[in-house]
Amino acid sequence: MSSRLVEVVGMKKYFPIKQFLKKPNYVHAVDDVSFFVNKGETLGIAGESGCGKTTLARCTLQLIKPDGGKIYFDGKLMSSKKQYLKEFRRRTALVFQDPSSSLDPRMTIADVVGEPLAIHNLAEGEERDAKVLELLRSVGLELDHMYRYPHEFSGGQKQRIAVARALAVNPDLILLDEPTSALDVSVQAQVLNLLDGLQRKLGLTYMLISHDLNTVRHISHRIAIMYLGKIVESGSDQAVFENPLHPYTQALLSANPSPDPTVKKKRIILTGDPPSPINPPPGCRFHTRCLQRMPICEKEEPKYLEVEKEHFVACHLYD
Amino acid sequence: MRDLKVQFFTYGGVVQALDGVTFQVKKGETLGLVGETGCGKSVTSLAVLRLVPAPGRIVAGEIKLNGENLLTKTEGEMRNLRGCAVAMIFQDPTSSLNPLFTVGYQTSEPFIYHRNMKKEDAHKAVVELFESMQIPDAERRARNYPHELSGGMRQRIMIAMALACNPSLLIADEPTTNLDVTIQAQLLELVKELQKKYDTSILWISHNLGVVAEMCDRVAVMYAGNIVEIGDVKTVLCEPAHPYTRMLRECVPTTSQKKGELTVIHGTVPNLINPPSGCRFHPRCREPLDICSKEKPAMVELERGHFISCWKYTQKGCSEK
Repeated sequence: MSSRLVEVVGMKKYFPIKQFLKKPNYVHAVDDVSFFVNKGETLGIAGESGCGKTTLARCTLQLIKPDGGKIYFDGKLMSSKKQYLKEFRRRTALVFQDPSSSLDPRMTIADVVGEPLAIHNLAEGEERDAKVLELLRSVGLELDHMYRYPHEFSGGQKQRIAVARALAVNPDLILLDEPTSALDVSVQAQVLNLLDGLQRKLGLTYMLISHDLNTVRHISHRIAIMYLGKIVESGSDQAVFENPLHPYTQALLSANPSPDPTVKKKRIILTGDPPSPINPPPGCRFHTRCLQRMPICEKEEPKYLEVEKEHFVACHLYD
Repeated sequence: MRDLKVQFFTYGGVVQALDGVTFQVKKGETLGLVGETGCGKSVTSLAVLRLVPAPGRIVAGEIKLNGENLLTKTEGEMRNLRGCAVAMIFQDPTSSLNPLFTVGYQTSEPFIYHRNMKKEDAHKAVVELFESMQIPDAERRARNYPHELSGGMRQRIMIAMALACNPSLLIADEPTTNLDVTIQAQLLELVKELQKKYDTSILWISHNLGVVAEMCDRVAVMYAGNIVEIGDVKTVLCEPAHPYTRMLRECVPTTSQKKGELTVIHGTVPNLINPPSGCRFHPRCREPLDICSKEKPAMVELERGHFISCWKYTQKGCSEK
């Protein structure tokens, strides 16, 4: 078995909603979540909007401070000391959803991609330029793109630049926050192929966040499904997609429309909207919409158990 | 709609957004319109309502609704048609609902303007309509403002508003792109049910092939202001003939089949101020012929009801005849 690059145990993040002279309410964005990412693999995190995917990822990278839980990176416990964080940030990188807003419009591409090199004192002067060019070539861009500004590029090209910038520090872990949802399908395929190729060549580890199940399935080795701040199911991509155990995963997969009109599947239609994470329902958080609800679901929170090998589910059906 | 041409007269030049688009939507059927961003899907839908924004203009063609040509109507006559005979659901319900009025009031507007109902009657009609939309607690919801509702609920309101006057054509411009898949599934079922009930024709615009496959009876594939292939959903999506449709189909990852390299359509959608000569797809095509860069291929019928605009088939069709 490959070794674990990141392991998170019991992470929590509550955002307070302050009210004047009143006790603050809390948004339970991420509530007691544990997962791990193996070296050289891709962990896909899927779920509906507002379920805490992005918060989970940002807490993992210490971009926001989690309220509880432990993070182990490459075997070492994460600390929030400045020196440690700088070293940690050299080994991790991020690609955001919207490439137009994550690239500074007043910096040339050479500056954008070279900035991480400058911050971490990795290369200077001509050496830096050479490194930038090498990075751009690795994502399929050329020398004459180097001194242009972000607005001169198409969405797909901008996302490639963002990938090049992420690669600059030669990271172990890259976090992809919906990297293709702002792109057209034909361009999305280009970016996905690029990410796949880079992973094979450089042995990168990815954490991919997406609400598009097709994308998640395509490039992930392991998948975690989130609902209202909790991971309800995780396992290898085959286990989760071909043998989903949690009722939410089953509903989510059946709701995903297939581009093949001859496939007529039985759709599970969930009623209602996801409840608010400010006052999550007691017991299992999914019980308000679950079709296989039992009396115990309203009272007790299901434990996150290993039902099959490396296939974890949090549901009373499998206790 | 026949041979519709829409051009935008900008300072940079004339953008040929639609270049001879022809299609029909039959009564009670759903026609899907798919394509990449900027291929003219939304302009097509706006053209049907004659709402193409300046500096755009419909320069040629005709649009017929129930046998009447919409392009010769006056602005006043169009106003009576919009929201009544033709209605539209927009992509983003948050920005298309007015935040200052309750959703009940906004939905009652078509009743008041088109049906000359009194306010109280209109309100009753709205509540009934909301109930048929499976909006729980309709009476109370009608008194809510848009920000008090969730995205799925807002989109339901939009659909209710569009269906208020029982239109003969409903244009849905990417109505589910901003929604989560479970909510999307709810809405798709709802629209299907309502369509059966009211026998409405739908022009369903989307870039999601999955949604189109579930919703539509026929599909038209657009590329750079042209329809390149049109036909039955099963034919177009399972045995696509046009190289663009085939590549579009292959470059989408699916949950059922596994990995491997995705097909990539190289390059980007061309600039429509200066579209490529001949077939507009030829610079990105996998199997271009010499003639493709010179002349525009005509629409030919491959099988019954399956039309395609590609030289490969035009020539074959000629030789077979």
